[in-house]
Amino acid sequence: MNAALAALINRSTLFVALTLTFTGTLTAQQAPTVAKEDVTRAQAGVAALGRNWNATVLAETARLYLPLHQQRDLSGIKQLRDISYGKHAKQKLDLFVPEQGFSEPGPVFIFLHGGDATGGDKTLAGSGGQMFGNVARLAARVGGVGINADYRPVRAHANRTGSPAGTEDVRELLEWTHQNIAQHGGDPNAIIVFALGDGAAHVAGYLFHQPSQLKEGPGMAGAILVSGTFGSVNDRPLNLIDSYEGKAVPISLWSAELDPVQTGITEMKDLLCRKYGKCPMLSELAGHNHVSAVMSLDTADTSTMGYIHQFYHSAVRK
Amino acid sequence: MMRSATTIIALSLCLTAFAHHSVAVFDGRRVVKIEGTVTEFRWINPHAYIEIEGIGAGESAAGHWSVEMQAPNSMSGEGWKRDTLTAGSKVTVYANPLRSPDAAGRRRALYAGIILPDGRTLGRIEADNR
Repeated sequence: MNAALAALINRSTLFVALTLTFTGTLTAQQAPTVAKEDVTRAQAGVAALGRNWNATVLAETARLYLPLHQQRDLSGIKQLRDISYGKHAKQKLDLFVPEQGFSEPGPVFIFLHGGDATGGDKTLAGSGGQMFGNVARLAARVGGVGINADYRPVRAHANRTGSPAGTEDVRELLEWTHQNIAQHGGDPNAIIVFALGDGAAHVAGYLFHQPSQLKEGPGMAGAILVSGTFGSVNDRPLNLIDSYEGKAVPISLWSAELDPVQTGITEMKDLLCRKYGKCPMLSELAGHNHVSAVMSLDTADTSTMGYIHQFYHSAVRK
Repeated sequence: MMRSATTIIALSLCLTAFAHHSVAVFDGRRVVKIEGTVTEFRWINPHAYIEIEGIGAGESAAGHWSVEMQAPNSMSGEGWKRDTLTAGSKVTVYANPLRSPDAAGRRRALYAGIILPDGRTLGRIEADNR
């Protein structure tokens, strides 16, 4: 059996198990029409790209998932683009809101992209505007409110390693969210921050540094940190954990099998286990590379949905 | 084969009740058939709802039932629309009942499927309960 096939089977088995755990036994009759072949093609394509991470892998992964995004029905989801949450031109967010209204506040998902040091953006070039708004779009599809946010790139500051811009922007983004999200149907007490790569490092830096946080504390109910580059910026988030005395926020760590280098994810898990006597969730994303798990969200490839579901119902709404 | 089953299963209900609370209160192994008249169809977030006055067919008790659904934007993938149901619609709903009785005595269930007034079906209709 080749490695790609093994990865696919692995992902299938795990997800079936997770799904059955959460929802009980189901039949196939509820399935809408989905392009199963496109899902298989995307997953096999990611496997073929192998354990690599570079601009080509990013572009190829986006190309593989684009057909799945183009199949999605976008009706019923209102998009409000480029809302400022700070003074800098990069401090903008896109808001995804269901058009049907709310009978009670829905959860809020905030997505922060990665690629801070290499020109990351909330809208991936060449993705037809589909990625990375797909994470926020998913929130609106399941009855919540989604935010897809940009932030000031650290590279714009003279001293990258010492710049607090990442954590400052996380705070300002949360300030905006707490002040404004209720009018769009969101529950400020049910904010989940979902961040990739360098974005995850900024969120971690915020979560373990009380002076960086809102006056009231972290201001989020949970954080999902995907392929976090926790060790790349002077190990800053990792170095903060031991001395942090503020409120602990539930964290879900995602580690992609095809990420060529693990940049502090296991170390973060171990530090948190030791500090709190209880370990954060660590999800090993079999068959996924640095971005494919995020790109798969709100598509027919639901291989990572179980992890979100499990974390959401353990950390936010039990 | 496994890949297809995964996609189908995942897309069908993994999103259920994502938005608000866990579905653990509902018994996913049981399906009750609720025949009756819709008193209200709420096409709203975080969950759509069907309020139905049941006639007490089969396992389901007569009286008012509140059937919780997924978010509208999830349900639309199954063919649901804002006007799929109106008050007065005669329907048969298949749903997972609560594991334990509601403290306030309400009859609640989690939507699985429905037979619409025109005979069309949406969702999961359990053959054994027809």
